[in-house]
Amino acid sequence: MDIPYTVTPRRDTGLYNSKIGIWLFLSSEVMLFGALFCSYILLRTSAPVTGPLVWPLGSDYLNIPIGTFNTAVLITSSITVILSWASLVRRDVKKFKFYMGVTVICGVMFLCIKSYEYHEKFIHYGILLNDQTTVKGHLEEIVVKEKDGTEKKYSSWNGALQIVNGVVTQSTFHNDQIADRELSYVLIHKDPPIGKHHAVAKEGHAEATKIYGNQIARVSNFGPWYHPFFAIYFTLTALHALHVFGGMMVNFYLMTAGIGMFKTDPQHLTNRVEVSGLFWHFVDLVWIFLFPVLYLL
Amino acid sequence: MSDHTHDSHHDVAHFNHHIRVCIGVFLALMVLTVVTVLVSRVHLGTAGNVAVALFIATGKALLVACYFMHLISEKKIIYRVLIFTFFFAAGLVFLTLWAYQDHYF
Repeated sequence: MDIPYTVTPRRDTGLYNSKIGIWLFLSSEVMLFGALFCSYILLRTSAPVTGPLVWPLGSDYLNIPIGTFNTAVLITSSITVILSWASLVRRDVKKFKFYMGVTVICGVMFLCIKSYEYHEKFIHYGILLNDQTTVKGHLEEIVVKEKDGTEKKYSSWNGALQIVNGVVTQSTFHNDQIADRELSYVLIHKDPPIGKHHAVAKEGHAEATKIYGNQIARVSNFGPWYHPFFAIYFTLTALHALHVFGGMMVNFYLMTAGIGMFKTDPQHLTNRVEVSGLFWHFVDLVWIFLFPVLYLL
Repeated sequence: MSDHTHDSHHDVAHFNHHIRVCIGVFLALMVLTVVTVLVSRVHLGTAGNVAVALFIATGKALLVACYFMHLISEKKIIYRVLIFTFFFAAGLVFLTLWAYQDHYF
């Protein structure tokens, strides 16, 4: 059974059906990302103006050169997806595969860079001290006293520890539950002042600073739980990354398994590439707003 | 009958022109990205920086929508769909800003 109007336009709309379909879908996506952007607005405008929950500058935590490069990668992938569609219009299947290949590679690059950025967040820690100041840096170890008095050392803690009077009151996400244990101290390689090159490796550059448990209110890596800024950052960028991944899968299909349609019905394939391209442009459009809002403001 | 050598509502010259325009838009988008980053380093106050960043981002988004997504010469039905989208998205933002007055958070 043939799906109607995949090539021939409908007389009432003047368009083939999937074009209307994709625009309706993109309209719903506008509401999805729009709602999350509104969440960002509310979270940011209701943040306190002093204290540890003050809304940070994006540049305090996010790497702007990497974000700018990622923006350039997506914009490039947008023009190459158009060129791949143009190649199909001109019935040049070799050029189509080339440009679509570049588009897919750009998508992979974007996701790899995003994964690296996420990893950087998860290995970076913030220690909230009792005087409400925060020490940030890379963790050397967290040393906890067991009930029998022996010390247990953790070289990483993916989650947050709440501490009152040197005793862990809440521990989240990591496998061990260390609530009610005494926190002896934390060794951290402090971040250099803003503007200096960021020291990444634990073993090498900055010397570790020892902070005793009774001075600490909270220890946490920069996951979504660290601050509402990170919660909305991870929500928005992860949902966007999922869209990049989905679009990439469709684009990859069209240039590999789906290429057979070039022989049987080239205009249908051209239309498929056109509507996939529309989705891909939307993904780029969302990032065009995400980048300045999260990284630059 | 099904093998059109080009889009049914375009002639070849118009199509080639459209592709050249898109390449121009691509270059403009790259430049605007650099401008966005450079302008963000100038301190205009929070409201000022937000306004400038959103203004440039909207400009880039319009370029993508009008030329990459071909909206500038699209059929009426698509415009009708997007009017609804714009109305509801604007409503979403408006309700958000209105809710801020409630001081429940």
